[in-house]
Amino acid sequence: MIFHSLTYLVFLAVVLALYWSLPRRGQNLMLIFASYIFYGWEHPWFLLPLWASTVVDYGCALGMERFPQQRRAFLVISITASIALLATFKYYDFALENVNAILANFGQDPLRNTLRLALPAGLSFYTFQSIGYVVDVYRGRVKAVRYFPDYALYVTFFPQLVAGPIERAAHMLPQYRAPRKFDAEVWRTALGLILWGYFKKVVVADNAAVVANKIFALTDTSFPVVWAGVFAFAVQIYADFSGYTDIARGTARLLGIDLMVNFNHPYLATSPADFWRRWHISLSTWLRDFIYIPLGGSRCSTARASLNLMATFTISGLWHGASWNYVIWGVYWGALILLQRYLGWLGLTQKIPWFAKVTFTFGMTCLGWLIFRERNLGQIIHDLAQSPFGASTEQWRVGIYFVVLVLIYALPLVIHMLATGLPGWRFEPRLSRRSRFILETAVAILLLFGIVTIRSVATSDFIYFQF
Amino acid sequence: MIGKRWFLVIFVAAVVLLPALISHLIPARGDFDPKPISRLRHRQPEVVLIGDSVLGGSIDPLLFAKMTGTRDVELLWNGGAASAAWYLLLKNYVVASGIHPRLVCIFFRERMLTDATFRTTPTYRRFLESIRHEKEPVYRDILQDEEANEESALGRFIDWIYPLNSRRHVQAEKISRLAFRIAAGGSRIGPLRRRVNETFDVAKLRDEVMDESTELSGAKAEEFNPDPRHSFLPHLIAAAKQAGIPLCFVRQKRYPLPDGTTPQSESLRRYIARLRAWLESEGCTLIDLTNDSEPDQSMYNKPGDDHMRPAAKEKMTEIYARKLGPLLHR
Repeated sequence: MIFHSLTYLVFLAVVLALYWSLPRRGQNLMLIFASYIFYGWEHPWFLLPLWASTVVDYGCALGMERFPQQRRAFLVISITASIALLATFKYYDFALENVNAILANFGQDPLRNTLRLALPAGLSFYTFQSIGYVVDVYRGRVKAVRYFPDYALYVTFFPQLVAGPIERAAHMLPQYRAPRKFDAEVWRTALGLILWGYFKKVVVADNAAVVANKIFALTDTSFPVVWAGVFAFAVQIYADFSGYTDIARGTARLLGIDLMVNFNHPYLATSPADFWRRWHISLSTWLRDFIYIPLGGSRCSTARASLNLMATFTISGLWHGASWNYVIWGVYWGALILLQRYLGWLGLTQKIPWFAKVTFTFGMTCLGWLIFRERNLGQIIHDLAQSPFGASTEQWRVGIYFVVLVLIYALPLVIHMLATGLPGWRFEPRLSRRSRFILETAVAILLLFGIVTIRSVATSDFIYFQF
Repeated sequence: MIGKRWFLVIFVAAVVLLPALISHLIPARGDFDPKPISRLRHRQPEVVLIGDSVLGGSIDPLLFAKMTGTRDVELLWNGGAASAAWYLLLKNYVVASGIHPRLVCIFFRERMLTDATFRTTPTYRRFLESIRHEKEPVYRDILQDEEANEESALGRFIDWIYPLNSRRHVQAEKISRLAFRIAAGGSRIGPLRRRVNETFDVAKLRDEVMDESTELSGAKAEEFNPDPRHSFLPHLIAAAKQAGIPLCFVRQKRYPLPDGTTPQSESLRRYIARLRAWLESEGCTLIDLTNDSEPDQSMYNKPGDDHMRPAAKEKMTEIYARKLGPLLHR
């Protein structure tokens, strides 16, 4: 089931009505049942790997507490099972393709046992969340869950199941165990957040997607048009993913559950490292805590720390998809952050004005999005080879037209970013409770009006569903 | 003092109802584009050719006029046009202009003539809205009837509450025009619009991108049925007959096999045979290029694509002229 469908709205209305009429235990069981319906709506078989992951990780965590001497073995079993799931559904065919390419170089026949399995939506999200839980139990940071439905809900909670945020057990499990109280004020802010998420998705992201998809469908184009397409994709992917997160967080709030913030104005980042502190925060903190730091983090030699960083970002790239462009994208970000570190040590980044830092980081981010969006390496090279000096005035006008078109749709997003994201300044008018209510209601009305009148005629799935 | 619950109730009511109210106050559709009528009146063409991008990219009207010895040829095409658009183009432009061409040709492929909803989804509505009047009973009845089967009751209810929801393309066009004006920087937007269209010429698309204008899988694989409640074809012929305009239908050849033939299913052959019999009974002509050896693969844009290479335009115009010429000199 997808958030931007009428089916989902009806589903949510029914879930909310039932949920708030049940006691806590009943609420959790109902949420698990609803989550399975949500997840298996179009492809019921998607539930099989989800159930397998839930049962194995629940059992391994319990095993760690019951047999402390075997903790490590249970950890290995659990992580191996999660990686096996990812390898089977996501990476097997990619690996085989590469093996076949090598075999072809040596004149050997290709291996033919490809699986061609559909990737279950959200597999990378819930396997990472499960691994996080098992490792936290292993480290003694959280206690293993004994009551199975609490753990099943931790893995399957439908608002965040398909595209995160990748939550931590320490944040979610206490909430599932606590009684929930209906709060009208929380509901009002949740509805506002959901509307904002829908606006970002169906107005900003889907309209920007029309431009990006058109431009990335061209064989040969000019510098201004390519970069207008990259700009459109930068807007699309941010509005799409953060829109999904807003709907997820708003929906969870309606159910009395708080999900973590996943985005913090990433396009106002002042450096590559700062970008990753603001973009997909749940993934970057997961990678930091479960890969980078266990590898040794930065408390080791410079060479080793650099290697740790590159390994972490390569895994991040591969997490996004089984394709070389994602691997290159990960390596690109790792290299950028290393470069930033070295320039910082040389004291070269201190005197650069804030605006220049933000512009430079946004430019580097866009370059990254070009690598991310183009699947074909030859096409990436072709796009990068376009010169701004070789483009005609007409081609510049075409490029400007697309940038302006995307900016018009993204205007509310830009205003929101400037009003709430600039350092040292935040738009917080001193208003009475009633005036604030009127302002928030007016904004919500405008958002729904925008959704009704200017949402894109071409809708697309959330980009991060494919990961 | 208003409590939190009342704030919530007022919030939900205001957010749901006010956009609905505003939605009903704003005109729900864009304006009809009358320019082609005056152009037709001014030029008085002897031949009018109507089709989609496959036609637009494969014929040179000036050359066609020269080859067939006609005074002037008007080309009415739009990328992604299909039977609903062709009906409106004929009725609202050719017939409405009062001209008397010697021949009007409709270019189609496969079952496009009788698949009323093909290419009428929101993506294509912008063009359809610009060529239709406020009151189009035939258009409304056929599409409403067909869409009623495709959309859920809840979807129709939401469209009824928020009528602008189904007219999003009107706002999209306004926003696009605003972007054009800003990018043109005070100059006329027409040339820039043309330049943008040229940028996305089908010849420049990547192989892996299946151009929707050649994607006919959406055209339903049904038997031929000229039911006026579900097809624009009978209305199109009725409009032409009423104005005394001779109609000819040209079935374009899809991308062929290396030997020049185009594979066809048995049901499609049956469909075309019935279509031909019915059109002839209505006094129209059907020219089918599918079984001809030309055009061959080398004239097409790329494998699987029905569009012609720009270099093949002249040759294709010659083929059309050879096929249609005799009809003009009868």
